[in-house]
Amino acid sequence: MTDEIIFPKNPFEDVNPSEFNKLNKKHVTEDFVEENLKRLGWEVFRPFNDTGIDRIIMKRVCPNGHTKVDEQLHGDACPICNAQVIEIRRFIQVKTRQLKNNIFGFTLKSKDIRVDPRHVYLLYSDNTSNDKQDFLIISVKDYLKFFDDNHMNPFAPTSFRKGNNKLNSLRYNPNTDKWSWGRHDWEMFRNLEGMKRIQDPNIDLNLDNEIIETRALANKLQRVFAKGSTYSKETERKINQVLQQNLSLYSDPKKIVQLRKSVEEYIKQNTDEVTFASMKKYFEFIKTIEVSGADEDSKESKELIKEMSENE
Amino acid sequence: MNNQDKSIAYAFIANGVQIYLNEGDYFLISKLICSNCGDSWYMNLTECFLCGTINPFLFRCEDCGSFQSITKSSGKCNNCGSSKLYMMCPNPDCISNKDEEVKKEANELGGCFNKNSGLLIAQQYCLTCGSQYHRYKNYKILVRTIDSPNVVISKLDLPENVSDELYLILRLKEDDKIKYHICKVSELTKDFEIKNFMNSFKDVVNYFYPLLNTKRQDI
Repeated sequence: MTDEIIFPKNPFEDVNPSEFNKLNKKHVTEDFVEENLKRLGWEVFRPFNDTGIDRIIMKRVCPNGHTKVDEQLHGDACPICNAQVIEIRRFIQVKTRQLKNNIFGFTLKSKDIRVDPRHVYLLYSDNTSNDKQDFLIISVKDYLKFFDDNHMNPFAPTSFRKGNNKLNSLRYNPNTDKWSWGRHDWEMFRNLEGMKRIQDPNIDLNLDNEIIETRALANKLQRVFAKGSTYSKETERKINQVLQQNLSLYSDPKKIVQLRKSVEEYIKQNTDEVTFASMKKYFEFIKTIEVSGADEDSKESKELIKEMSENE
Repeated sequence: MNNQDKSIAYAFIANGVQIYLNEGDYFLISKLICSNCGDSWYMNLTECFLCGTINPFLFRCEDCGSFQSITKSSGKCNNCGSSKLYMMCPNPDCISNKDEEVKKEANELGGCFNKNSGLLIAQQYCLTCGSQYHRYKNYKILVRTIDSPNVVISKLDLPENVSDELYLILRLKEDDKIKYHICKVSELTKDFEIKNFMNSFKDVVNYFYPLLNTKRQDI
């Protein structure tokens, strides 16, 4: 039965996804994703206000993996093995792009790298061809692991931490009808194959371990500094040495807490009350944008900073 | 979403909790928290990539070392008039301060906490306990307003076949004050009287997202 499913499928018969442009597509693309996930039996939740997570999805599945990709369990027990059904949850970040020269170009910032492996990137190619769309669905853990396994590191360049590291290696080959990252196959993350991977109940059953493993991968890849054209070779060497030392030092969480305390005390002693208060106020601002989903550089954020400045 | 649900949703949002809706009667609350102590995790907060110090959002004068607000800056140091104001890491022991070559290269790009330097990264360590692990924590929430502490279950119009994970927030308005009570829908078997109300919405948030025995260091 699974083989017959067309996924994704345009749920909006009167309009083709390719008819939308960059300016008016956000709502329809997220709706497209939502309707398709519902078809596979996921319960879909949308944000009340704009946030970094575009959808939270839930599904009741057999803990032993007996639930099909398009199946929704209604009872409390798996019809195959009678095991108690569990509810799995995934946190979906959608990136919709139109292919340019068959390339799906996108950017992930350091704030998009979470260590909860239930965090999933859904890369939606809304015009693989005029009437065909594709989802590339990959959990943060699989994403990190893919680069680690293949000895690539898009997290080391300064552009990743600047937030402008556009990745242009995800490519669709119309002749073979296959997706790849550079020369590496990405078909395992495509459409139903990707959905099967994120439906793995072991992610939820072993969540603590999965988080530890995801963090280990994130540290291995993110705690590397590539100098690019802006820093010297010697600086690169020194920084990489410090990064490794600190990674080891801060494996004792108390050390980073102590450091931050002593730096706060240092600032307090070396600044006036108004400036110290300004620092605290900025921290409040960060908390606000965390819930509103706005970026630090967004128009709304700039207005908020201006307002704060006027009230100082 | 009705007004009662919206009111609760906005109260959660004001307390740093995100809300997700579907077509059903209930909604989801969700928050990214530290796996160890439960404190909020802020992916928009940045820390020094080199030493882990939290971004203080201050300029520092390279010549005299004084700090000043980035929102009020005139581009010159208030103390010595120098124009060498950079978003430097405030940790004197950070390599970006201790090593002259690294410092020079970082300051040429505006300092560690200037985005152009590429020397800042989203929060990696918990503000409270220093753990490097975070996770999403979320709950299904149903809201009902009651007019007395004596709760009659049949009057609550509860959905059928509820999951074990569905929480009910009961709100009671008395003398212009709103009080709250939380219980699991699956545990409601008979009518009951609420004896211990929560008197503020902060208590509701703390019920779902408690901070576990730690004092926050929150710059």
